[in-house]
Amino acid sequence: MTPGHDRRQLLFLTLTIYWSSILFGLTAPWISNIAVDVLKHGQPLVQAIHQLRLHLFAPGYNLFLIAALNAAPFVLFAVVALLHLGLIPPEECRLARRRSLALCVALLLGIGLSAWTHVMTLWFPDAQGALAYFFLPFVLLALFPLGYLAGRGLGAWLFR
Amino acid sequence: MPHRAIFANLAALGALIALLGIVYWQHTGARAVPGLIEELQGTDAQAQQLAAAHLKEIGLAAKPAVPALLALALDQSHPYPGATAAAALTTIDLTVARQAMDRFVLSLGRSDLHIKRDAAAALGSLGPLAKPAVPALIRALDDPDPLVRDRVTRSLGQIGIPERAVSAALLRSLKDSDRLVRHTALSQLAFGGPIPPDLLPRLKELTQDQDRQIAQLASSTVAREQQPISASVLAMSLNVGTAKLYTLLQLARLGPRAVDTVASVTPLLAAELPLERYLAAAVLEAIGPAASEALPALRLALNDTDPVVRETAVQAVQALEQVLTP
Repeated sequence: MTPGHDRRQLLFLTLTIYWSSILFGLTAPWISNIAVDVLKHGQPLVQAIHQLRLHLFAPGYNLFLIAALNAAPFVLFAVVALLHLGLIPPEECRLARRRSLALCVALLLGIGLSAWTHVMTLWFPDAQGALAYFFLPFVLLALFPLGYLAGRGLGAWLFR
Repeated sequence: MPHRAIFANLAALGALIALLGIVYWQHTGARAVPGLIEELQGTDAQAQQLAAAHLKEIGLAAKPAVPALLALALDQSHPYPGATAAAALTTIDLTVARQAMDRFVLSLGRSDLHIKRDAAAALGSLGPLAKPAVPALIRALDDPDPLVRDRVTRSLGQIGIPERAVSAALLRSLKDSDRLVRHTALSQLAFGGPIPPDLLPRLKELTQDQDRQIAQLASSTVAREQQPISASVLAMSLNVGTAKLYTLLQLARLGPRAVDTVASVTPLLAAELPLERYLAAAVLEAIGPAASEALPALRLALNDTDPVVRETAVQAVQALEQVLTP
């Protein structure tokens, strides 16, 4: 593999992590809503999307704000990932692999927790359920560094 | 990765955030009103209901939506969005909300059962603003249809004032032959708000009711009565924006027992929201002569810009002057 090929691969991976983190952070609550409407309530997909549109700014639902709340830690993570991978010198291939793996592990953990929280909150509705939306960003902010550390450990073992 | 590419991606993120901010700004506050009016005029009942609830939250800035809200409130083919539209009118225009109330009262006298049931429910959605409809609702408690009586009972609980008339009506419903009506009357008392003392004997009787659900509900209501919330504690919620209207209604239901809150309630006669000014005057009226220190502020309220607030201020001044004038 040529150094140019590695650079292109790293650029692609950096941008994928960056934009997928942002887009997932923003759309996870909406995707969860649609999924629960379709899978639990048996609504057709078109109807589920219509429901989402109706409740985006509706008082008591405000799915737009919920999405913004969920997106905040993902956006922060995306910026850190962009700088962390984007500023690696071209010759540091091993470092790039270790960092990429660490960021992927952190992102996957974040996506998993976020999706699980949103789906569970909607699947088992509860009067205090909305509190999950408030606390989730803080939990994610704590989870990302932990996921990163775990990924770095894995990277150090895999890419010796 | 070239620094230019990093900056370009950061700038794209900034642009996305700005775009989302603009979308949010366009869909909140007064800017959302034209879109919500369109939803009200559409055919999707759920969209109409959500739009009406949104307009209620926007409040005074939703004034351009009043004709569409009134039309929806009076549209008998859409009872649920109609009731939400009526509720929205109470935070936007009291006079128009009272117009809707008058139509609902007329519908209460119609022979069509569905129209009567919907009208009874819609009056409750107007909350304490529908106080003048209480006599008509009490008459409707004689209706042979249990569902009409059930909805009338629920609405009387939601209107809440004048406390004496409402509690006498709830007492009747507690003795109703239909289980659903008795249950509804109980639930109006079980979940918050002061419990009128004259209802206690009947509530205690109901703790022995053969229906387990009714007996349990009555027991929890009686237990709640043994630890009543004091008016001064309630008054602390007057500083909480979202709880203000609920608190004012509870104080109005307490009547003379809310005398300690006069100093906290009086400044609300100058509140921005007409419904708050209306309820403040209603609380002082319910307290009666003991609220005499509020008379100067009430006299100022006689010149309020809102006719419904003026009318209530007149009644409050009369109630306060009952003892003062020899």
